[in-house]
Amino acid sequence: MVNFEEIVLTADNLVKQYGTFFAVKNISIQLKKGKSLAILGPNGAGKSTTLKMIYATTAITTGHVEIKGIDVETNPREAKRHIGVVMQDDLLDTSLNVMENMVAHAILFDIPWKLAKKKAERLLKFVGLLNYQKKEIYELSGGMRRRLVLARALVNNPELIILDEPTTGLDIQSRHVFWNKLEQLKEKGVSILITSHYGEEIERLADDVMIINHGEKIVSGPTKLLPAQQGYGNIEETYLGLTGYTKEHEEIEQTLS
Amino acid sequence: MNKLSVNGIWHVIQRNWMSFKKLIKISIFPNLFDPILYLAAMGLGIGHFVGHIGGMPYLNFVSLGLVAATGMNAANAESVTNAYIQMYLDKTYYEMSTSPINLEEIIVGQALWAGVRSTIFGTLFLLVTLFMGILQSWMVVFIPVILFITGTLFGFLGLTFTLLAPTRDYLNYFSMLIIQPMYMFSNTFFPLGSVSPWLRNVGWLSPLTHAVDLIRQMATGAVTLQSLNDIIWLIIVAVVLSFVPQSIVRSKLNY
Repeated sequence: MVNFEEIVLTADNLVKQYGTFFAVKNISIQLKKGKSLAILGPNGAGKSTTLKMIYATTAITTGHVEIKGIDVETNPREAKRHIGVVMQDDLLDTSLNVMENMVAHAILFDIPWKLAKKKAERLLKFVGLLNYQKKEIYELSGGMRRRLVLARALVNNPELIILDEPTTGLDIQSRHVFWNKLEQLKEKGVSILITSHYGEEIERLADDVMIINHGEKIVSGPTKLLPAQQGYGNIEETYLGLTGYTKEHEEIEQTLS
Repeated sequence: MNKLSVNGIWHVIQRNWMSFKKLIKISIFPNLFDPILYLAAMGLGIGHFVGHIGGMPYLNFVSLGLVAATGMNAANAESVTNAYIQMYLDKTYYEMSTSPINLEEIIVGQALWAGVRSTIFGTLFLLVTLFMGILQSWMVVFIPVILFITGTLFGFLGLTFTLLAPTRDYLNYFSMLIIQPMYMFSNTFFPLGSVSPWLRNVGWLSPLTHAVDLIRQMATGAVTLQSLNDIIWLIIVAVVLSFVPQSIVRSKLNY
């Protein structure tokens, strides 16, 4: 039985500093099993850097991250066994076909070859790519590639899936297929940490939302309540209002149109 | 530096093997064409005028030198061009580092894989020399081991330069200023004993010189205590070099 009270991710006062520049300043996150949090912010706000500190590919300047109680700084190998990552870029190996990409990732988690193939088949079926398992990567559409990246991120049965702008550049149909899959995972108890530029994506997938700018949290709260609490109609308006979208921007847009 | 896990390193090699086995057919020709071309030009062409060196026909002398040089080139291609693509263009290393594997294991695995490639292509060229009737001793069975050690050493060396290269164009400098001179001045095409002492000393510093000497000794059965020195030299240099890319990878691959 899934214990929805279990804390899967704890990030305390995360700071990332490059010289004198602070990319992330005191971001804290707590995520329970089966819950989802979206981080929303303009380009360069520190969203991806925050995620990278959580999935342990960027050093934490100060602060602390635990995945299922495992410290990612002192024991990244064990912590990463519980995470699946969908990065902004596909980062698929173009020398390998669809199935080989899945198996190549699975073996990195100490999953034996035969079991890796079985898991890969199950996951490719889940994302609707089983019939494409022998296709080369260049033969896939953008939407198919993203679904393959999602399947690859699930190969270790992660309890937390981290997605960095997963549907950027996808057409509307592909985006909805992707969202459906994430909703199914959430129902199974997988926690989701996502960054996005799409208000609709956040409203559909995220229980909570955190808006950040210049590396700092501006506001956070339940996705359904936050706009009203801040005096806006929806998430996108809240985001635009709180990150400094002004009359000047509107005038520029009118001039461009 | 992070701790290394044998499993992690092994998985990096397994992953490289998956890509390699799909491309092996198209890899054979470019890896063997170059030494065969040199063999024809130097061994058959110049060899016609040179006669014998150190008691062996010049063709044999060059052929055995080219076995080691083929291994070095295969390792170099893996740790420079292929590694650059995986580090910066395809970002395969980044993708792998989201798994329990760490960057240091990727580097060590990649260098060992360069050793495997060196063994494969060096041994293929060794088979060419077998058909030419050059091999005279059962000790040739140890040549793949020498190719592996040499390839791994060049793997660490190549990865260091690849990590330090500010852009892709700088990789040409490594090939032009380090690899090509080693190719030419490592007992490969002429004995270093015949040149001035300073060039001989520079040649001794080249890992390829030691690999070439070992392969000639094993192919002719002339293994001596000096051979053991050469093996120890190669292993020590490989181990020392292994720490360099491991210590810089984290600061250089800032994805």
